Parts: sequence; C-alpha cells; structure tokens
Amino acid sequence: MRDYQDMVFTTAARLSGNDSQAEDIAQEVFVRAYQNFESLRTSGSAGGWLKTVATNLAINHHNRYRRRWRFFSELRRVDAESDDEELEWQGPDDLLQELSDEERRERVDAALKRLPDAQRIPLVLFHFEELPYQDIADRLNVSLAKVKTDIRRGRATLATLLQADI
Amino acid sequence: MSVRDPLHRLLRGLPARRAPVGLEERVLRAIRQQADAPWWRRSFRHWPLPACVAFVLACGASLGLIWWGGSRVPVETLALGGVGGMLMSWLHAVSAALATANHVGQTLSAVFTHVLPSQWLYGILLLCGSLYAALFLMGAAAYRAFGSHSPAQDHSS
Repeated sequence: MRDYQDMVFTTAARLSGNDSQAEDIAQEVFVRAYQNFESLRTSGSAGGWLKTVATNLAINHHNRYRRRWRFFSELRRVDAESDDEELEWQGPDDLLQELSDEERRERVDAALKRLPDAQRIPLVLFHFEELPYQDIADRLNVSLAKVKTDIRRGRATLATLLQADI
Repeated sequence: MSVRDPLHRLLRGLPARRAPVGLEERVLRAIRQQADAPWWRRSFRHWPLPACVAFVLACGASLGLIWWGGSRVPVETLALGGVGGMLMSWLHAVSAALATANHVGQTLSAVFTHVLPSQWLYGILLLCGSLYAALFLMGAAAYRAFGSHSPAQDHSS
C-alpha cells in the first residue's frame, strides 16, 4: 500500500478537487484491493488496477452527484466550436519552470481545485490519464463536443489562474 | 496530446501528492471493521450461500403468506395480545392495503374502459401531459433564472 498510496490519493484528489473526498476514495480503493488481494498479487499490474479503480470511483462519485442536476444544468447549448480546433496554450512555454517540482505541483493543484468540476474532470482525464476524447465522453456520459469544449475552457482557465499567481 | 504542448508537459511532469499520514491507518481500520463484522451485517453479496437461499425463500414465503393468508385471518385473532396478535394485525393491515390497491386499480380500469368515451380518455391524458410539460418547463426556467449559484453551475460550461 505504501508504494501506491501517493499515486491513488493524487489521482482521486485531482479528479475530485477535494482532499477529504479523495481520502474517502483512496480508502475505498485499498479496501477493494484487499478484497481482491489474491488476484492482484499474481497479476503484476497492481498499479494500473489501483489507478483505474481510483479513477472510476472518483468519476462515479461525481456522476452520482451530478445526476440530480444534470437535466437542467445541461440545457444550455454547447457552443458549436470546431471539433478539430487546436488546443492552444495561452501561457508562456516555460510557465512555472523557475519553481521547484514541489512548488510547481502545489501551484497547479491549487489552480486545478479552483476549476469547476465540468472543466477539471475532463482536463485531468485528458492530460493526466491520457484518455482520448471519446473515452472521456463515454465515461462522463456527455457529448464529445461538450468534452472538447470543457477541456478547451479548462485549459484557458488554468492558464489564467497560473499566470495570475505568478 | 503532443508532448510539445507546454501545458501537457507541465501537467505530466508534476510529482504525485503525498497521501495523508493517517490514510494507511484508516484503511487498516476499515479492513478490520469489515473482517470483524458478522456475515449478516455485510452486503448480501457476501452472505453464505445457504443464508442467501434461506433469505430468498423466506421473502417469497412472507409475500405469499401476506397475499394469500392475510385476508383469511379471523377477526378474533386480531384481539389476541402479545407477539402473535401483533403479527396477525400487521399481516391483516398489509393484506388489506394490497386488497384496497387492487380494488382501486380494478375500479379505475373499469371507469376507463367502460364509462369514459375514448376521446375523453385521450383528452385527459393530453391535458395531464401538457400540464406536466408546462410545470417541467417552468421549473427549468426557474432553475436557469435563479439557480445560477447552485453546484450544477459547474456542469453548464
């Protein structure tokens, strides 16, 4: 558990944007790992399994909460932006490079927490988990266009927040 | 995502966060609690097979008993004291409720099929549907107008 707890907690914290929720999720992940201990011990891919379960639990938690609000909140039209539009980074190429790894991590995590769920979750899945757009849309149960728009907006907001902190 | 993308490079290069110090102890405590819990306090999935079978049979038997036996409980037994009398009165009450629901259903069905002309029926359904849709749209409009600070705002980007 010690080998993986940072990774599991980080995954849950970045997706949920809430440390106490992330701790609950991490606990649940390791309890499940304990229940599947025999198969995990022989599989050799415990890290991947733990990361997947942490991601799924965080998304499930989010979806459960969102379901109550979803119909009304998603009535607004997703802007008809081009699917092929490039994700342009609106900050300098060497942003935060002058900071140490830990300082950079703190800045980015703090900025991520300030993003709305709808932008943070697809952005984390896209950049940290490296999931393709379609997989993100399927897992969040939203349209492909919305995922692309949310990621684009999330990146723009993140750029603004990170540069404002400098 | 291209590694040339500065944001992707920045995010991918971040170190992991440190898990809270108490996480390990929390997990061990949760595992201990689960292990110590008797089988009937765990989820149904973890019950022993004989207990699962017995539970399902008992549920079926209870339902059957309520459905078929409830209406046949002699009124005198309801006056019995103690646990037996209480059980009988519950059984009778549940059975009476089921029978009432059944009668209401049959009456409504008779009204719709024999008394009301079909045009009326369609009219009523249409009216109910319209009222429901109107209420729904008013709710949506009110939410949009006044619910701008609700958590759902997070999903409206």
